[in-house]
Amino acid sequence: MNKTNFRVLLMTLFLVFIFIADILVGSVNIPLSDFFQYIKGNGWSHVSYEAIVFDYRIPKALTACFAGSALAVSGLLMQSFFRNPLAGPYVLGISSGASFGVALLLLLFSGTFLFSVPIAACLGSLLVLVSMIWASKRFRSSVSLLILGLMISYITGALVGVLQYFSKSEEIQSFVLWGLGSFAKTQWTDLQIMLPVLVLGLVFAYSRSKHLNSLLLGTSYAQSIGVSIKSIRRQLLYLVGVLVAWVTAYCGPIAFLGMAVPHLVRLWVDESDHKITIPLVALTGACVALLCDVIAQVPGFTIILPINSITSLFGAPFVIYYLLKKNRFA
Amino acid sequence: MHKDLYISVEGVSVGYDAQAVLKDVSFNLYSGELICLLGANGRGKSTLLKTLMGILPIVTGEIQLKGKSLASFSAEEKAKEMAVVLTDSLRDVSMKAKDVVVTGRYPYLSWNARLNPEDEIIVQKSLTKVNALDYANRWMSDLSDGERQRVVLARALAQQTDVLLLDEPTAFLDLAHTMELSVLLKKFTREEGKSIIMSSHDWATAVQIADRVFWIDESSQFHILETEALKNGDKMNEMLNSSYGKWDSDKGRFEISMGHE
Repeated sequence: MNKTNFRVLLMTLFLVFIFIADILVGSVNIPLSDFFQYIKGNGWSHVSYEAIVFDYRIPKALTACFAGSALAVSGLLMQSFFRNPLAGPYVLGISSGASFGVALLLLLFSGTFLFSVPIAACLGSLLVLVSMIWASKRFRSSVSLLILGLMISYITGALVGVLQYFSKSEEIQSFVLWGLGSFAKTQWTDLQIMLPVLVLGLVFAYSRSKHLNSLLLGTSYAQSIGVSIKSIRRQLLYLVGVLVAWVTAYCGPIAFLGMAVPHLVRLWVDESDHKITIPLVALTGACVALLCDVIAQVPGFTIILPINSITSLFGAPFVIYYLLKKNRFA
Repeated sequence: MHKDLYISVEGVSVGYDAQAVLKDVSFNLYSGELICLLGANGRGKSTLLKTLMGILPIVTGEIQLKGKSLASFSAEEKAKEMAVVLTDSLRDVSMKAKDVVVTGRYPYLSWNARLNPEDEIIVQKSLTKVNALDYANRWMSDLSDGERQRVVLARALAQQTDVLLLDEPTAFLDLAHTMELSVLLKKFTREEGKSIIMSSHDWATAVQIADRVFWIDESSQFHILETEALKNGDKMNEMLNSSYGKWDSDKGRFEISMGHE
């Protein structure tokens, strides 16, 4: 077994471990012994556990897994496409674009119908992505691009502020709660729509590995080995737009996960081939999202923290650490 | 020796966004030829090379590759005929040297980019030819400029093309590496029948290695010169058109005029 396979195995074991932990930990802590009893077919020691686990905890853990994978892979795609280690769905304003779409829907039209939140989030994030790609063709410097992303975040944030100012308090509350982020709002019926889209997106991302590797060399070299820049740019645009919007619609804007996880993977895997990094980033993204969710439950206490605070508290210092440690990127 | 016609360029203008930088370029490129493309900065050397490769669209005129219109080739077909070395620095590319070379095989691979044993051998051979095998597993950012340039050349070789288009391949190299590269390129044309167009500012080297010289003058006119003709100092001085120095044909180098005010 080579080093990479061994690490994948290790990560998978950790994923199983943290998945079980996420199911057992929460405002009601289920003892590990209960879990083993249930696996043996002896049932739960408390009647309510069945409902807590199957109606609430498992959907939440699955949401965290796939949202984490999708965001992390989106981050990797953007870092490869922009050839910039600071790229990510949150930093480049795509998450805030999705937020803006949802704010328009929740605050201005004050109502939701089937799929309205995901669609509003998709439109909002695509709007930002299109402008970022338009700008990327004009700005040579990636620093300008990051500043533009930041500015777009401010603009959408200001517009959301105006919307909030004129909204009723209940509407504001529902939007603010959405904005704090949570993996716990999805039920089985939501998962039936959410998961297939994310899985398809991840598979599609994997199928673009060859083109992504070429893009690491820059667009001219990529073109010289047969990559159509126009078409791959469009494909990645829609892919990242849909992945991020879909996650944001169901879980709210989740900060830093998309940007930090690819760096985490780079720290322990000495590979740049997307055929290897995409699966690893997806796996690590799932683990990190679950870990953050476990931490958010503050085991031993009855409070639950917003997931966004946890991802930022751990994600931001980690990115700083990475940038200090590695100077592979100038 | 029998020579095949690889590229024929007929009345071509090149430029960006339909704005021609360089007009009325015509030439034929044959197998086994090493051509140096000379001219001051901003005269369209890179633009011409990128247009030949199909990275930039032709503004006007016709380019034929092995007797067929360049426009009739798909991007991948083109990549099997011509490979490039560009001026883009790959210093900040987060890839290992070997992975960079592997991308040279991409035009031949399906979507999953799985390398056959044959592809693996070609990658190894390409690295060997440029003497870069020792650092194949190092990251690009950890290599010196000279090492990186060898890797970039190995990448182009891995594409197994008859034509190599090199944009200032010696720009970041010290003297020893420049000479090493010159010998290598000459070898590729002689032993493997590749044809190479390389742009350069190094006239002294060009005079020694080129079979012919393409020269873009001050007024963006394109000229084809026999290398022998250049060894005569007058032509060189006319091309240089500078009061800061003169070509010394005996020494085969430029002499800087120190007395210049």
